[in-house]
Amino acid sequence: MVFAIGVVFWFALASGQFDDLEGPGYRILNDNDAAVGVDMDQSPPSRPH
Amino acid sequence: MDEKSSYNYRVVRQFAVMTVVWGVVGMLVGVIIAAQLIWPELGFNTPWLGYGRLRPLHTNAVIFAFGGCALFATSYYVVQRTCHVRLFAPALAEFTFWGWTAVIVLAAITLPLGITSGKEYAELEWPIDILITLVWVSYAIVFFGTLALRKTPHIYVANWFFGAFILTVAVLHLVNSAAVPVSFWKSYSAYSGVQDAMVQWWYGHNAVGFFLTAGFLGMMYYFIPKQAGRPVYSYRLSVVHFWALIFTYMWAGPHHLHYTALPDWTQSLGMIFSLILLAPSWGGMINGIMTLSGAWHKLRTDPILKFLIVSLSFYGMSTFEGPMMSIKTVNALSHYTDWTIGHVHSGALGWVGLVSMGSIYYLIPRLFGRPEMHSIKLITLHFWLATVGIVLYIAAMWIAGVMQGLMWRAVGSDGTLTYTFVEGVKATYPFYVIRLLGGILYFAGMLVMAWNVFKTIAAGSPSDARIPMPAHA
Repeated sequence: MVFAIGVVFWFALASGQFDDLEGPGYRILNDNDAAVGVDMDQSPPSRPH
Repeated sequence: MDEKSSYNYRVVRQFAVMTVVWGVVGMLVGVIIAAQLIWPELGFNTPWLGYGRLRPLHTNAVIFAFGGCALFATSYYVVQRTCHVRLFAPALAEFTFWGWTAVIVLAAITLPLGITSGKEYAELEWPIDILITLVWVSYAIVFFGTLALRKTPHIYVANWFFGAFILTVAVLHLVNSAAVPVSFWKSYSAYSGVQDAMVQWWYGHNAVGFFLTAGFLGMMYYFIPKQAGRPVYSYRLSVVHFWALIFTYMWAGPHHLHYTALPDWTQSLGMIFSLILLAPSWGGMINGIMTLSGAWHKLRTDPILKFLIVSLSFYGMSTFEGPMMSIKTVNALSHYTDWTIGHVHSGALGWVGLVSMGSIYYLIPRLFGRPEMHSIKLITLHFWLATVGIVLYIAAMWIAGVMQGLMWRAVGSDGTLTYTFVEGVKATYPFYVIRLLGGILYFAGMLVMAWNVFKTIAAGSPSDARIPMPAHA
């Protein structure tokens, strides 16, 4: 079981899943999921810091 | 709208609505059995109303019906939104809904009838177990199929948590439910004696770790950033959190079997891994809460954020309490007392309950084409009812548990027990009353939610969202 987890971890590492460890956090915020036809800005873009 | 260019919200809607329905049912049964502990006459001498049969109904309803539907709804939503692709195998997705609902209904019939395999949190008999397996395999195909079709190169961390939860629960269910049927409604475990106990708690603890933790952490890592409008505090830490949790959780099960026939070294190993678990758990909690750093003011006005953030405080509390209780000397006092019940409910009502409610409040308007929930004030009311309810519940159980532990172990100078068992029961009564009060408040909050959800849905109509087209396609 642990080996299986290890293999998945290795595979994820090798395929570049962990190359960018900041961008993905911002990317989900750029996805506006307000209901269709509803004009609402639920998630304002975060300030750069 | 064209099917291909929109997300599959239908199945998300089905599960989201049933989360609320089963939440009301499961918590009502909880209130009933809490009252039965004060007034045993409430069983009315009817077998199927007895505490022993309603208790597994309560646990199954809140964990697998309420919690399970919340996990299905949120994982289907998150995997589509973060992968920019419609759900894979829509017919199978539809089957997971009706199959899971059938499992819940069968549980609600068989458990009160006394049909049970006798394994805690895995009471359902083998024909239902087979149906669960079919539903779960379909769930895995839909989820991982969607991941495979993703239009985004990166797999968002929430999906890792959901994926681990789905795979692990499949393995746990298959191993622990292995049984030899002797008739259609009766089977015996494939294991015996201490092996059976070890398999049972390997299952039991990892059900807590993967069903009630990993899955809901997936929810946390999506809905807190979305509701706060800020990226998770440290994405790097969230990835570390995931792998650390996955590697250590599997080994903690033996702490449920301290001072039993289980070999001593196994118990100690379980205890040590439980203590190690504190680190990733708190890393994750801090990561979630710190997501609000620089935006703390939002907590004052946004009740949905209150639900999500306070759920993390309870996650932190119970993941501190858990490792402490797994220390053998502490366990000698706490085990078999109501302290354990308090601990479980701090995790269940506080963490799992609040994070699910927050996520469902986030989802419902988006699924039914509304700008927001029918009443924000009612969400705030629900939040306070739930929070006060939890505090009353767990404080009562802590006091009752420590008191019971101390009374049971008290011996006179001649070595005889100071108290008879029934004296401990008598001393617990006032705390059972406080617990019932807390439970009623929590249940009342759930009714407020049901009303609010009903009004929101009545004012809206099912709405599906368009899949964004890549800008550079």
